[in-house]
Amino acid sequence: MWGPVLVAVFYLQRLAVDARRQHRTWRHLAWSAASAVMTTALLVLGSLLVYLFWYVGMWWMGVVLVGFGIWPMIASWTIRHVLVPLGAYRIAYYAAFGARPGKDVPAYAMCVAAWALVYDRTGKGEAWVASKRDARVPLGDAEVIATALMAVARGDLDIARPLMRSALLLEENHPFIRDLAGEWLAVDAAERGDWKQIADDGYAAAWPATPLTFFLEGVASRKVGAAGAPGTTELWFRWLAAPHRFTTRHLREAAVPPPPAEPTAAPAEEPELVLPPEKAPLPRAISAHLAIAQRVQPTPTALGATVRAWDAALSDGATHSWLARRALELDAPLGAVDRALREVALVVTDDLARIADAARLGSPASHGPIGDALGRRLRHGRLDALEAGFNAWAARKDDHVSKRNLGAARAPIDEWREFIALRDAYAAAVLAGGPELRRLAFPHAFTTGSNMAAWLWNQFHEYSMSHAISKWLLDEALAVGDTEAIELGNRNTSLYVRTRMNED
Amino acid sequence: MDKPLYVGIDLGTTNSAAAVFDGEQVSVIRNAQGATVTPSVVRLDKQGRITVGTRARRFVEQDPANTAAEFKRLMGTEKAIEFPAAGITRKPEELSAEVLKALRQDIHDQLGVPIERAVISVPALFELPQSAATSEAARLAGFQRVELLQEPIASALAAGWRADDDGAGTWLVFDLGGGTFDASLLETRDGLLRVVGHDGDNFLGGRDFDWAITEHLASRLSVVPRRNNPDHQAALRALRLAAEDAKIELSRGEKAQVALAQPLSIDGQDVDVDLELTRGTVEQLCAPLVDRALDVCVRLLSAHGLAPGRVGKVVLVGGPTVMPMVRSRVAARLETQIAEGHDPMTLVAQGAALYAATAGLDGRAAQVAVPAGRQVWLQYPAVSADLTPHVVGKFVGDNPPAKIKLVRGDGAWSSPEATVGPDGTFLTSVTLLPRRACTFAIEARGAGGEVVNVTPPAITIVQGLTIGDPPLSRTLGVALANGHVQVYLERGAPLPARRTFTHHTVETVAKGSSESILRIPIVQGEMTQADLCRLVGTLDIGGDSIKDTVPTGSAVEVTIELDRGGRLAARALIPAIGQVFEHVAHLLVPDAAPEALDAALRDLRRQLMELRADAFRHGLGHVIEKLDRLEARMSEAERDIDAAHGGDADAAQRARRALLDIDGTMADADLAKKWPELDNEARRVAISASSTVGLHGTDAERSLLQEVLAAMDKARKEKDAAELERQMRLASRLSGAAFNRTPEAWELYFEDAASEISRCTDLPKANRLVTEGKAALDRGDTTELRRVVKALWALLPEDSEARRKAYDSGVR
Amino acid sequence: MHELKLEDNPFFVLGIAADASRIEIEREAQKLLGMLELGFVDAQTYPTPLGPRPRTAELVRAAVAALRDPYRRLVAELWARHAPPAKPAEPPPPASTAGTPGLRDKLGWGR
Repeated sequence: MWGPVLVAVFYLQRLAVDARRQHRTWRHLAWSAASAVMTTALLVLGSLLVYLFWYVGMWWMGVVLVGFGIWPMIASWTIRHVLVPLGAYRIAYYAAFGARPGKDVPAYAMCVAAWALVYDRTGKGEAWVASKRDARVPLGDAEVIATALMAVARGDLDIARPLMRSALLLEENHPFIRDLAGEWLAVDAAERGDWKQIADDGYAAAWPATPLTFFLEGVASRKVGAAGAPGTTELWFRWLAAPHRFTTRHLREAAVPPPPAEPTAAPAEEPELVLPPEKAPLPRAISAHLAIAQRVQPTPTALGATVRAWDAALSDGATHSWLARRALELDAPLGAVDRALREVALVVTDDLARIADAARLGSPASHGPIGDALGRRLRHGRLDALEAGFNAWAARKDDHVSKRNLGAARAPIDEWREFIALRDAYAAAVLAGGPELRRLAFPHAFTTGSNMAAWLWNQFHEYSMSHAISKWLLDEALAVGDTEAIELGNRNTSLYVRTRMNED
Repeated sequence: MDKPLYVGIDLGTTNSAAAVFDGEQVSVIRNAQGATVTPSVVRLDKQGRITVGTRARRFVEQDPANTAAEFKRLMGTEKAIEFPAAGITRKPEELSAEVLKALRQDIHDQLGVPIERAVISVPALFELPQSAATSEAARLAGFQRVELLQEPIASALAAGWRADDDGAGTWLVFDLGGGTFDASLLETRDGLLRVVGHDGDNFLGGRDFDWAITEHLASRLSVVPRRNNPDHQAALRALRLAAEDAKIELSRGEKAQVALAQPLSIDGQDVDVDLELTRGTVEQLCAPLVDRALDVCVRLLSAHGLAPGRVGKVVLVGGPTVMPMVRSRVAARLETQIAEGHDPMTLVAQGAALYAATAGLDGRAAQVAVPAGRQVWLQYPAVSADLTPHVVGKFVGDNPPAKIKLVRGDGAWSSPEATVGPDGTFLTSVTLLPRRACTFAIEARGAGGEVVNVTPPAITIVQGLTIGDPPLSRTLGVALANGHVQVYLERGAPLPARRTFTHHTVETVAKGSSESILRIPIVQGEMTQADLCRLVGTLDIGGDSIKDTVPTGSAVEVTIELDRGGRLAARALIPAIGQVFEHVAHLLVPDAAPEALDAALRDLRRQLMELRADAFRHGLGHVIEKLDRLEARMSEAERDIDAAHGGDADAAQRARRALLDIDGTMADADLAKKWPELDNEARRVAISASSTVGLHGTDAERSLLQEVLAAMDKARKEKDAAELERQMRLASRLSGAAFNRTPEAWELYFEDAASEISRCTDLPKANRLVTEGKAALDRGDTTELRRVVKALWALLPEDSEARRKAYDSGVR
Repeated sequence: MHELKLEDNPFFVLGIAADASRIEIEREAQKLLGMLELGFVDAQTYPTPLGPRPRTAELVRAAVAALRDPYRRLVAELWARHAPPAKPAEPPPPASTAGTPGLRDKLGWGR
């Protein structure tokens, strides 16, 4: 009689754990509580039974019960609080098999092993986990998240962040692995103080909510003053439900909503540098240039002002006559004045383009010689960079005809990283260059991207990856209104994507 | 010997020379035969014994197979020179090392001092592999350290040093060597020599004079030997040596007899040679060549805003300038006087010796001196144009003396007492006597005023003309993925030099994959397009050497360093993974197989014809003129390729470089006509897109096209080719999208794709698709036809040309 | 490619006025090269309007070569004469206090 009850309670506990992942309301807490109650009940019942079996001499039944009944409930806790901190990646890998019944358990095991690498002091684990990852084709979210965790273990956080986030693009979805990714991203953002990012992710429900993620999202939405932020009591409950309560208590205490913004407050731009009005145009331009070059975050206003200052300086009669006089005194060759003005215009444009690129600023609205040259330089620089990247990516498809003879595709994860890097570069260029650059950049990205998506789908059966590329191309096609690309994108993205989670 | 010994060596194509400067006088070293020049000829006999110089030159005619000459032109190439009698081969730098060894021995014999450091002159336009080979030759010859100096700078320094009138003003060095011509415009002011500009012709030299005379003589023989016939080479060689002798004889006399003791064997026949040659004939033959050199000079002057007659004087350098005709033609055309009193054969070596002094490169072996007092490290110019240069010093060890003073050797001047800092450092200055070597005794005193003995006890500084660091002869940079060059070190940059730039990768380098390579190609040349520059080295970062995958767009900090010996080093740091890569694969000058040269010439001729036709069509007069000049250069290159077929490796190298130059000029011409073509194409695209989108497009497409057409107009007005091309692509896309809605579109695409199936990567599959397509066409099944066309497109290879042109660069 | 002549302007590198004579330029360069070779502390940096920059022998050589050429000197003067005065070294910016250092580690997500 106890058997069916145990199985039913066990099933309900799993349902509760899975259900809380879906919710970011009081239901999360309710399901957490329900799962906690059932876990406790099961542990008590299970322990009693084990004791009973031992007492009646059926110790082997006790062992079976511990393996199949108790371990699945304590495995996650043991992995998180014991095996990962010890860096025991192999044990964590095998222990994970019992922790998650259901489809594609090895994926979870691999990610747990990658997580344990973070505390592995031997440095030998990476190759072991990588071999597990490389044995799994086609690529899915688990492989991407495991690779990101391996980058975390190496300390390459700048590589890990975009990679971890890129798992969202893939059709294959392991909820219990995305738990890990979402939590890591939230904890990492909290360490950096990027509360807005956590609040945005929470609002978009980008990742499934673990108790810790849910708590950090609560803190974040209170800190940024987001609508629907939890009250003190709810936050207190969220904190109670999450692990590491001792560490996170000060976050809870510090989660105070910001004071209401003054209606008259100026936008959060750095104050503009005020130049002495009596300065001649050339010193003014140089001072403005120095000021923008030294800013931590140059603004479009500052860039526009610098461009205007240079346009005024280079067309100023005083600059020309000074140059002509000095050229004569120095016995400079004929045409030195014009050449010098051209050279200054060129270096100024180059340097402003470098500043604008680093700060992801668009072309300035100013339309003098420097303004126009800078606009052209920025647009072509960004488009050239994108085209070079997309060309190099697509060239691999035909590498057997090129001199380098690289052979076929790279490891799936490297193909993915290539795509992610290109997509990010594209997004950054579009952000800075606006809709016009987006329209110019799209045709080339579309041609190369579609070819690669088709190649990966047809030749390598990388369905998830290919689907992600097609989906991105479709989004872009919609943004620029390219009807032919939209048609193709719709056809490609409507194809059924077979993954490990949806195959029978 | 107390005096320093600054050694300069002119390692020439035909002759070499050495000179030493002792701080006061420059003297030319004589060889064992008493001559100031040593022929750059090396012979290896059956026993493997090496003979160098005049004695070896005697065998050029008798035993040409085992006697090598003019190997300098092959420096930096992989070409090994065979010596069949001894059964061994030698690289060009090994042969140059033999010449350097002989010169080094001559210096030792004459001065009794072993020499370990020297300055060696190289042609102005030597590329890095050639410079590096010269440094290697010096190392093989036993030199511990050498610096390289461009020949025109050396001759200018020597000529300027001797100028009695302080040499102020602008002057020209006319350096007609064995194989190259260099013209340098110089300026001296305040005792400082500056190279204002340089021009030259890499394919013009005394050899061309000899060949002109040789071909004239050959044409007068009963059986005419040909340069492209390997069996005629021995006869031509003998005739050329006789022509060379006759040319020298005609520098003095009016007539010369060209007679060979042995008859020449041509096509199995014995042909006697006994011909008379007059000075007039030789002048007539050589005049066009001299005029070509003078054209270069006039071009150089006008590039710097100078007309003939505005140059103070002309210094003549090189053997062929001894000809009276050369001197008179130069003086007449440039309307100036020829500087007298210089030996054109040894001027370069003398200049190199003077430069060794400027660089403080004492040639004597370092002596281990026993310190006789407090040791002090000193920094001062061995030669200074400044009359009051600084002397900087630092005492070695703790408790340095408190004061220091320098007293000039003539006792007429002493410096004020300089205070020595607690760390032993001090700074003072000295006063020199104009154009003299001055010795200064170093007097140091302790805190209590007691005299402290110092090592070295004295220093010598020469006042005279100086020049800065040797400039880089050709611009050095990194080829980028878009086919352009990022310049690191510009021509004229002082050496040694180092520069760092940050690039970004254009593709992911996968960890662990030996096939995945990030390539950083290092190129040398003045063109902005990478394929027109010479690839001199590559820095390859393989996937198997990185600790993590490097994604697209990652930063790569590349540093390029170049020392004075032309040695290149490069370093790439990838901050994302914190790894540094330093291994540069140095490339040699590529081998020039005559067949490859033939093919390259054919290709260039074809391109020339196309360009000419286009230029006529667009009425581009200046482009046509440029192409005419190129055609003349091609004919010259063709002659060299003929000679290459006859086994002349040197002519092959000349032809290779000429073809590269022609290619570069052609690219310029191509650019000049590109805009009108693009402009026309843009009009065509605009008209076609307007009509197609108007008929078949959606409202959104029509409004988008209006924006694109406006942008195209703007780009055309601004002559912004890149922008215009991009907008055209957009217009074509809109037009294509609209056109694709018509059923006939896919029929047309199918026909196009089917006509190109020979280029498909999988021919059987392509054939099958074409059959399926035809069936679909017959059925009128557009959906199926569309599928077939797309499958066919996927089988067509993409253009790998762009990638080749960027030397497979992985950075932008 | 040319570079903005503010950081490595030859006049700033050599620490001389923009109206220095040719001989003064050569003399200063020769002195600085000697001082750098012997490790003089006060020759290691030079002031610029962007703050002090490290001085190297390569920079000094390149500066003196640039100022020998009248055209390049003209361009260098254009920047040097019209630039604002040199700036002293700035203290390093204070470390950001927005985040919680060590949080990842304490929550079991690595160092």
